[in-house]
Amino acid sequence: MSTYTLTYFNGRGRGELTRLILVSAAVQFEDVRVTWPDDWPGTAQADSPLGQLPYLTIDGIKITQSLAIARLVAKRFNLAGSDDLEQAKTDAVVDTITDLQNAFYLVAFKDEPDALIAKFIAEDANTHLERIEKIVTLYGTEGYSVGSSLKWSDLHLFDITSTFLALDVNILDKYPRIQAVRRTVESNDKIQAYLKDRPETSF
Amino acid sequence: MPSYKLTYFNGRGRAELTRLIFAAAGAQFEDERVADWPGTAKADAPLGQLPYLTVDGVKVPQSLAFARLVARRFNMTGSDDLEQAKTDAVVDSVSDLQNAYYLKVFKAKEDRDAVVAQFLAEDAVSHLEKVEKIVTLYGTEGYSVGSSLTWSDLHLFDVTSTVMTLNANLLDKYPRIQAVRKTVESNEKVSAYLKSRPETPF
Repeated sequence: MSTYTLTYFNGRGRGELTRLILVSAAVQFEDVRVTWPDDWPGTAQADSPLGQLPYLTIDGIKITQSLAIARLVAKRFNLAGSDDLEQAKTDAVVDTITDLQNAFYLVAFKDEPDALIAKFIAEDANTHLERIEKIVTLYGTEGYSVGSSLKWSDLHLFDITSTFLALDVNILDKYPRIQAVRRTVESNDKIQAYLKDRPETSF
Repeated sequence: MPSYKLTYFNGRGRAELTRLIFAAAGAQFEDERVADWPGTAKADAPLGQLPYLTVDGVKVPQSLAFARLVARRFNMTGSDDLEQAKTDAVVDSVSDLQNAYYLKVFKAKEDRDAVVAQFLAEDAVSHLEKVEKIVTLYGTEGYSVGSSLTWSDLHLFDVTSTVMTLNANLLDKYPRIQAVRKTVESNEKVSAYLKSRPETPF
């Protein structure tokens, strides 16, 4: 049995996807939440492989880069797809969602983000959401982004679109397949229990 | 025998990594280079973007997703899932540099000189330091992960080649990055490919 320690800030950000994967697979893990300015930068940054968070420690080995981490645990716990082509489709969905996440982070963490965020929601978000709707329609079935069983791409879709729904409750109105995937994730027993208990954080 | 068709513009950009993987594997693929864009080519693309790979009739967009698939099939992703995760992590760190280049330098217009100067002084240094660090952590001399050629070596070679066009001395402080480049350049199949590939502006 491997031991897993996830080290990230006290927030969802780039750490939440791996938390959701481990939770849905019912895998025990240590959820280390680094606070700043007490721990970060300080010793916590020195301990991280590239001076960044998150990283995952598996049996003493540190793996960095949030998607590399997430893919590893998704594969180990059968959430990545049943063959290499399905895994490629899952990777493609994940990357399309990450394009939205990265574009948003470019504006969201600036000093005075409110106007930039409003502009992003009004102008840029839909370009990305249309692509996500398109790719899950291409590769998935009703309620699943790829194939017909839960994948890490469903969890990533849920995680990232949750942020946008909090900014605009109607933002997914035009995207029924995205909504269907969200319902699948929300109605998953283990995820439901986790979502009730997880800390409320600002990001 | 699976059939592979790669569809992209006539350039290196986000497709060259997969071309290098095919070359290193000695594998056949159709190298479709779109001249008429958007045209019908955009409608044919799954997300209206290039590149995409068609594998036995199934279209896969997102350059890293299909690069990983091809690398997997030709045994260039690492020997077990942990090594594959390390390879993914190196690829992502190299992509951080590539994306910064595309975001700033590739798009720059009238202010290009200032943008390039800032990129070289700040972004390039920050990302290259991380790449040097991660290949030192996960690899051995000449390899970014473990001790055999993986797709992360090819991605490192490809992206640093592009960024070096801005400054030929850019990698002077990064010996492990240089060593990986030497491995890739001296690979028989890759060097034959590099000699014969078309010269393109990007």
